[in-house]
Amino acid sequence: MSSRSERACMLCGIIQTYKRFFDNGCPNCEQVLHYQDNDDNQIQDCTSPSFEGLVALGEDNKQSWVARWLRIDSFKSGLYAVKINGKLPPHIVEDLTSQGVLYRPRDGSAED
Amino acid sequence: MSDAMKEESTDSIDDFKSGDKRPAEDEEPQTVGESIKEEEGGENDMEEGEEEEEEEEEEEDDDVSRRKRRRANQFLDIEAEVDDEEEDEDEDDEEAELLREQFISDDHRDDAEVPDAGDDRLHRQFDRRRQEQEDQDAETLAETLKQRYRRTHGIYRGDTTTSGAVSQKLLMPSINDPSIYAIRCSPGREKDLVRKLYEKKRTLAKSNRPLEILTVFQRDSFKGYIYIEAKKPEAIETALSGMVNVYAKQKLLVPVKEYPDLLKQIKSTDVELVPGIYIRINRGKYKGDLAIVDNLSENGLDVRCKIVPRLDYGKNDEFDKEGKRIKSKIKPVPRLFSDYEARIHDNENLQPGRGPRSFIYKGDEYNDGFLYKDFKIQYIQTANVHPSLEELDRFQVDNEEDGFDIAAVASSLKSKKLGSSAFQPGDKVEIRRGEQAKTIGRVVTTSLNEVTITITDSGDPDFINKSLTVPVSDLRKVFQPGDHVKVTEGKHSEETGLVIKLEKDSVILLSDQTQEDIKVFANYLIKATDTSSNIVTSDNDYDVKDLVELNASTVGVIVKTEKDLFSVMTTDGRIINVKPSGISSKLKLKGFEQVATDRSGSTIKVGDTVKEIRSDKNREGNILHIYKTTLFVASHDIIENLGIFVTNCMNVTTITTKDSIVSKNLGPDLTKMNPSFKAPIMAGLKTRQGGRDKLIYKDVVVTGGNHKGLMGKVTDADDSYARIELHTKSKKIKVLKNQLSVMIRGESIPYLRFIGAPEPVNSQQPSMPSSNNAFGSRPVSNGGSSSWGEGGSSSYGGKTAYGNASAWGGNKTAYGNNSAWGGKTPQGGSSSWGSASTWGGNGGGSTWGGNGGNSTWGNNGNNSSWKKDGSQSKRGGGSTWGGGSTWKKGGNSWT
Repeated sequence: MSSRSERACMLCGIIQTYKRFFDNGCPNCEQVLHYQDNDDNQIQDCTSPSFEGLVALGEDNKQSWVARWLRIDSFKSGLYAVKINGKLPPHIVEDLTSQGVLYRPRDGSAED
Repeated sequence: MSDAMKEESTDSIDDFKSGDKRPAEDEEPQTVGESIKEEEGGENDMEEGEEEEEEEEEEEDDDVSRRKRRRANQFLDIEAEVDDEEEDEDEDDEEAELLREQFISDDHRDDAEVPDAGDDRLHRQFDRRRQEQEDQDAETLAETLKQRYRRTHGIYRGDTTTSGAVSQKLLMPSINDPSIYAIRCSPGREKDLVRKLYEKKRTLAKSNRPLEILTVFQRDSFKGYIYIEAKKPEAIETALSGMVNVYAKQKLLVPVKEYPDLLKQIKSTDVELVPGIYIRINRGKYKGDLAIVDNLSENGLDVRCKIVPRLDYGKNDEFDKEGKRIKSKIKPVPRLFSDYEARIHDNENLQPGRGPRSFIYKGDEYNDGFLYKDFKIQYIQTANVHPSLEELDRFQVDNEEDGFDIAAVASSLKSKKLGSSAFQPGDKVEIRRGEQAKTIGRVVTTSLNEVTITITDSGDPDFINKSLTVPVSDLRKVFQPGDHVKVTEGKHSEETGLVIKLEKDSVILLSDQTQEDIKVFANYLIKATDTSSNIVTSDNDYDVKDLVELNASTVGVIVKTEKDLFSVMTTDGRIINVKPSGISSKLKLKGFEQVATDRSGSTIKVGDTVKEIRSDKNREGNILHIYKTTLFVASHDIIENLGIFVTNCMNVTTITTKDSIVSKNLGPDLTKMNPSFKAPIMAGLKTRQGGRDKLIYKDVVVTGGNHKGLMGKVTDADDSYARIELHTKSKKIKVLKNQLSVMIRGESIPYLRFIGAPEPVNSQQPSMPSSNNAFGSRPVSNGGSSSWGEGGSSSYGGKTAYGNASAWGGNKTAYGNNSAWGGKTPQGGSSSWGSASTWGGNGGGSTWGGNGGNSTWGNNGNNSSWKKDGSQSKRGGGSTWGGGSTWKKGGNSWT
């Protein structure tokens, strides 16, 4: 599995290949970020090829402290990144806020 | 997808609008339209409900095509529909169904309301209405699809603004949380393992034995470990069974309070990417080059860097046979962009940029000569950048007054040796910026990024002697001109020098090694007390004491090596400092090339001890190298230049030659050990004849040893051995010269007579009667050590015992501890021999004579017998020395 083509969603942190983002979307954020079949650079804008720390999250994530700490406890099982370099573009963040989604950067710049 | 959908719908609307029927809409009776709308709405809702349940994974394309198809065959479809409703339900295209229903109902209504209307008009009305509905339908459909589509992926379950963010603090782990175990694995396989474990867990999740591990994770900063979160340690063993590259036995329970550290997003080694910091490019043409971050893209994935361009403007390109341009593979040297050169060599790719000094060349933007280019974040390196002054200088071309941003440099240096701060207690430092700028203090303690100082000088007298904690990046070391310092970092690392000038954050110092001025950051310096000496020059082939050639006329010996600098003492005695490149080669002269003659004509070789006589300095030493007539002599008495001095061979006399008297393998050279022996040699003995050995090509007869009686021709000879080609068989043997007789005109002449030396050994060594040195100097005359060995017991006779030169050389203690002598009863009474003190008393060589007083020696005759020197062969005979009883005989025979 080549990690070169893999990207991490900046909102939920899931790691998938570009192709998978395009074909299937993000299992967690598709409702708000609409990656699937989106030719409008959405994947480039909202996922990052630069990430570090690989977390394998199973289905039974409710009990996991790791998942809670990384705030991925409500997400689907999959591989997640601990740190993702890059931030969502402001207009996307605005859009998310208007949809009631709280964006918390995963590049280490989140406060508290 | 939804967007595409919308487009599709609007397309159909547009089609409709462009149609000529549109204005007619207004003519329609309102009641009809409303009723239709109502009906439609109701249907729609119902259909939607069905839709969601039945078709979740519906593809958009499918919908559209089907819809289109329906529209095209509307009448046919609907006619068929009426008869065949079930089939239609299966197809579940809500729109088509709607249309059908409406069409049918419309039909009825039309019939009811306008019974007399003509067929044509009715049709047109219907068409219009149908279009209108379709228009609305398309929007509804898009909305429906959007809804459906969302529901496919479920709602976003992450943090929402309504639920609010849970502070990270509230998520801190407690003991009730599952344990995290660190498990050792092969470094580099961490990610693989996490992926494999994820697959494993997923595969087994639906089985009846799912893995009970919760999460598996890995961090790049913790190499060689993967972390598994699990409630029970057994779960980990189950999970890891059958896995390779992971060592399940080596697992550690991570303490709960360290959990957050494991999943920190910012590592302490990370450098925050902000404009202005120094980075290096990882890939491409500028790989390894230093760059300054100019700006970051909105999402932080692209970094706009300012970099010194590497351009050759196509100058080095070559053209192949078809005239195609072959790009030069040579990486051009970094130089500022020159629009002049670009215009001359490659004008078509040059375009003016936005400013007066801005250009666009081959699609890249150049401002003030620098390239501004976007690099992907993964292709830049932020840690361990270590910009060198040279590189920084390239960025300093235009704005000399700006000086270096030492903070930027410092941050790029972050994560170098984390333990060893540049600042050490006792260092004098100045605060560079902030409120306390220009405050001078002395470092008290240092931690990773902070330094505590005691203020010694400040604008405010109240502050003096107060302590203050300052970030490392805000501090600068303070030096005074004249301080002796050592460089700790960078290119000049390990060099020492004298501070001659201070320039803001950098210091100019005169290197002790190169004698050149170098400019170094003050923080890279520490005070030094001595010049550097422990420099390893491993990367070149030269070493101290090597004879090297600098050019055709200059040859010298390396007397000092430093970082990239050698001090070479040349043949004329000068000391030249050269860089390794200044040395053309190392001279590897063969033994016979390094031969000269001293002033008395004796051959001298490397290793011989010579004394310089035409000099008031009275220097002497061992010859290190001989180059033509120049001798490089190493003396123990001289301190400078490793004790090496240069002299001409005509200025020296030989004191001892390296291999005088006996070849080494016969036993150690005793003469050198005996201080009292030097004099007689100097007085008269010529240690070796110069010129070709007289024996060579002479026919000889071997008179002793294993080859006794054989005849041959001498092919080669050194000072003690001759190599003889035997007449009898084709073989060369090595024989002691002394065991040869030279055949001259059929007459055999013993070697010693042949070379003109007095035949008996003793007479050759006139000093012998008066001192026992003869023993030492010519063991041969005693028949060799073997004779001792034969005669005595092994302890006595062992070469080593005998050969212990120091023992014979007059070293009392060595004599004294010769218990071996005493221990052997066969050698007469052990008591007589064994009294070490007896021997111990034999300080000087002359004490052999003095032994005469000793009763034990008396048995061997008196010492006069020694002095008188009986026949040499008898002394050599082991038997005479052997059993104690024979001593008397031996003594007798000597007398």
